[in-house]
Amino acid sequence: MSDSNRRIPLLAKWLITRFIPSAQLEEFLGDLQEMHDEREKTHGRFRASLLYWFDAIHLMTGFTSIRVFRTQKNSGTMLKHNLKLAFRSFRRFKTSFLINLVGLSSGLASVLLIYLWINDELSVDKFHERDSQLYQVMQNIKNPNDIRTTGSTPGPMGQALVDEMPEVEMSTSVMLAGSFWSDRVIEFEGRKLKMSDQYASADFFRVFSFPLLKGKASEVLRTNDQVVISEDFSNKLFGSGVDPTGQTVLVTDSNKPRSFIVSGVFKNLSKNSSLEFDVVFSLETFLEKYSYLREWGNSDPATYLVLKENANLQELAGKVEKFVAGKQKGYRNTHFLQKYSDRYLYGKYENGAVAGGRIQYVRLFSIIAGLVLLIACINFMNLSTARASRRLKEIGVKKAMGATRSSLISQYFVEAFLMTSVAIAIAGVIVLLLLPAFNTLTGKELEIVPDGSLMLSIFVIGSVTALLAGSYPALYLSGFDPIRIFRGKISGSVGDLWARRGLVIFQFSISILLISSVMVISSQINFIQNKNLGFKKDHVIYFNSDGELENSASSFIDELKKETSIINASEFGHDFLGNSGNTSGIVWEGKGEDEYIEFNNLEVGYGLIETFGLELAGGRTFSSEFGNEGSKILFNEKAIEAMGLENPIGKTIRLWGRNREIIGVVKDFHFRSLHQEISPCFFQVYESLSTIVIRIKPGNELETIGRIEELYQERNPGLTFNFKFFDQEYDALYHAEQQIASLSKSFGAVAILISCLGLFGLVAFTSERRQKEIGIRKVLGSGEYRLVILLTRDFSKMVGIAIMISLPFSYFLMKFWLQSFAYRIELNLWFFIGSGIFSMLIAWLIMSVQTIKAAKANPVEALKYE
Amino acid sequence: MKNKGLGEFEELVLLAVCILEDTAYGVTVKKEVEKHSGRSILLGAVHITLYRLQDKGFLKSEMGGNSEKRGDRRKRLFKITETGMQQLQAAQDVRQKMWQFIPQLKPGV
Repeated sequence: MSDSNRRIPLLAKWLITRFIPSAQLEEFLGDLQEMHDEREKTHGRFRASLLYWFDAIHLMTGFTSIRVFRTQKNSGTMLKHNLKLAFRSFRRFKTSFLINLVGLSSGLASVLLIYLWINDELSVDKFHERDSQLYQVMQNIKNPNDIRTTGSTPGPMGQALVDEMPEVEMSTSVMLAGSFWSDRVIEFEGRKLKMSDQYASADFFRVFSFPLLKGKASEVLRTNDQVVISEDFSNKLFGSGVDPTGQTVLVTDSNKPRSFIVSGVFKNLSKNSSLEFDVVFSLETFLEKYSYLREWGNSDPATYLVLKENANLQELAGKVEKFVAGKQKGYRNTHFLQKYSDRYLYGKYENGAVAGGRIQYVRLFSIIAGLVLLIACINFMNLSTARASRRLKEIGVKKAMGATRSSLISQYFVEAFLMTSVAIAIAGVIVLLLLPAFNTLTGKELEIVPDGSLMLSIFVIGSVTALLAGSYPALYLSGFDPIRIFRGKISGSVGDLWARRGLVIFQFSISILLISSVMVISSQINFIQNKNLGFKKDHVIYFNSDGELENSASSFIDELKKETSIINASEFGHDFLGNSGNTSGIVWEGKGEDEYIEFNNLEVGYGLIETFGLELAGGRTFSSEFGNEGSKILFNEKAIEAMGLENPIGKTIRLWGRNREIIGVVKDFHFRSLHQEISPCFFQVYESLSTIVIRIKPGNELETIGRIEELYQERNPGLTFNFKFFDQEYDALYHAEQQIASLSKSFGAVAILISCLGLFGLVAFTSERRQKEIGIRKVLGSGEYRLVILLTRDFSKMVGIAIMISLPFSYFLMKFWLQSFAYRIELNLWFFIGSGIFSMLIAWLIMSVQTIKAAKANPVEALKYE
Repeated sequence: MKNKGLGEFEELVLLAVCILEDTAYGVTVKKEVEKHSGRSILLGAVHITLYRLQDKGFLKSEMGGNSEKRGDRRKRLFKITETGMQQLQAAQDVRQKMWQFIPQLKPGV
């Protein structure tokens, strides 16, 4: 009978074979086997197995071939001894223990939170199977003054690259969801749902790993009447559990309903996907309507490529760069390839090359995490070395008994490791408690999945912390000469004092740096939110003119205007959130041959300028009283200035080859985020635009919106009314900055808290050491006030030096950060002086708790033992 | 620092090996000691002691006697050596001698 039939615990047996020397292996396995069989008969299988394990482990510890357990040093006992000493010292020095614990656990909690965030950022779009071969074609658009980089490419490009480049295995061209229109409606048996739709060429589901639950990646999207929907969407439209493949759905476009056959269902998108859509049509469907995209001269769809495994990327990049110029004469724009999963983190381009992006924030927060943890480690170092004088005798006795330096070092490392383990456990709890709030702050859905990689990272972070925190005290304390200790000659040399001071100065420099940065960042955000934009963003709501509204928007607006609670309503083809067209196709009187101005194009309905409260510098706005004003145009002041027109009103310019009469000039206003400067722009008037904008009376917003919804439902029964507050969306433009501001606020607070705790501990320690001195001074007539000053002076100097060091750093750092805004605050010296004073005050406050106590103590208490 | 003397548990194990004659190996020794002393003993402890006694030269061993019961594995059979026997005898003698000098008083009186 072989062992596997004997039902012995095979894992235990395997462990034995690994750890027991081969000389004894046979007899031991035999013994174990024999006993197991007997026990199985008398006690049953479970107890027999349990006892097998027990005996196996016992044998392993006795006869192991691993060196650690076989040394003569008996390190187990030593470890126990060290642990006991660590516990005792924690109990004896409660204040510094608590300070270290609070400091390390809040530091570690910050690190863990940042780790989760960074990990999530780094994982975006990495889940595609062919990730390493998945590239996107990017386009550099050459303007006279700069180069703009976009993901829009000529429609035929994807297929042509597959046909002509041997390195390209397959491609897909995609009109991304929301890039052309949003919230279109799909219908099944009278049930209507809004969808976030995109249009992709056939290989979409082969290029990307969005797993199909129904249908095959090689079969869906092959004809232009197919549609693939997401699991959730299918459940909503067809009911859960129903297989929708083969069903016919309706999409109404320009009043014409058109039917599509559901040919596949894909699994709900992972939250790590930067592409977001719930319905995919064939790109052909789109091209039928917008056939100009079949030409090489027009760009819009995004092109994704899967390269062959051994493709030479550089060679291919060279060929792709001017690829379109070979197809279309006079094509000036160039293309380059970027790894698809890099786009999320490296999404900023300057002069046609990648120039950072979110990766900068990832780096920034890695640095902050490191600094916060470093500050906490410094506390540990400072407090344990400061405490050293009280443990000197312990060290001296041990050394006299023959303890080696290495065993003392290991003792202090054991202490540091023990402290860190407790701190990690507490940090874990803190993270669990804070995670929901942190998610709201960062807009993510982070969760703690205790998998191997997380555990490993926690282990690594913990070990690094313990080593860092324990190293200085371990090396420093173990180096004392025992004879000098007993003679009482060691009382902290000048060098040690400076090392400790240096560490405190370093801590405070970092904290002050963080505080002043936070102050600058928040006042910049504040500045943006309160800057006069040139229009009124409050109390404006907007929504898509979808469903029936596509055809009857103007009558709907007339109906809205009758409501007393609505101040004004209009339509808008763009928005003031950065979405506007641009063109250079304007010719004006006196335009030079080479003169080239890029204008932003804002398509508005009648009354939009009034709805947003834009001010006029002259002339009038569009008004339907004058009949159709399609041949009129309004400019902003910047545009008039750029064209060099004098007395512009009434003059005629040519836009796209048609004459337009200038009827008014709008005062400059910020139609994009404040990252960008105001540039020349013009308004044209149209009817039936994509968005309806309503300004409502302040006060009864909820009621008014309810009324608008009623009116909406009358025209679009069954559709959900999705509206947005304009001011909220506007603030969202600075979402990244706000996140950075609030995150650095929190972590700055943690940093200053930990530094102050450290300071508190040091002051407590020095005032205790100088108890007798204070007692004598008091007896001799020194006042309490002078004693407080005496105790505070040293540390105030350190904080002062820290302020001096950190201010220039923070000045340059903030200057650099502000450069990303076109409209920014002046860097006032007060930001830095203020944060210096602030940290000094906090330091004094913290210190005063201890120093006042020390100064008020009855001198008899301190002196009675002499 | 090799202690050539006998510990209490070592003595029990040595005695068990003597009792078992040719069939002394881990499991049987364990059972024998358990039987006489009435306490429960771990196999590992028995093995460690057996090897220690062998290192001290009180026991010798050889492999042999495989059986189906043990998954066709051999066992290490222990035997007492001359020195082992002497040591056991000496321990017994010391004890015997000391017993004689105990006054014949009832304990606890």
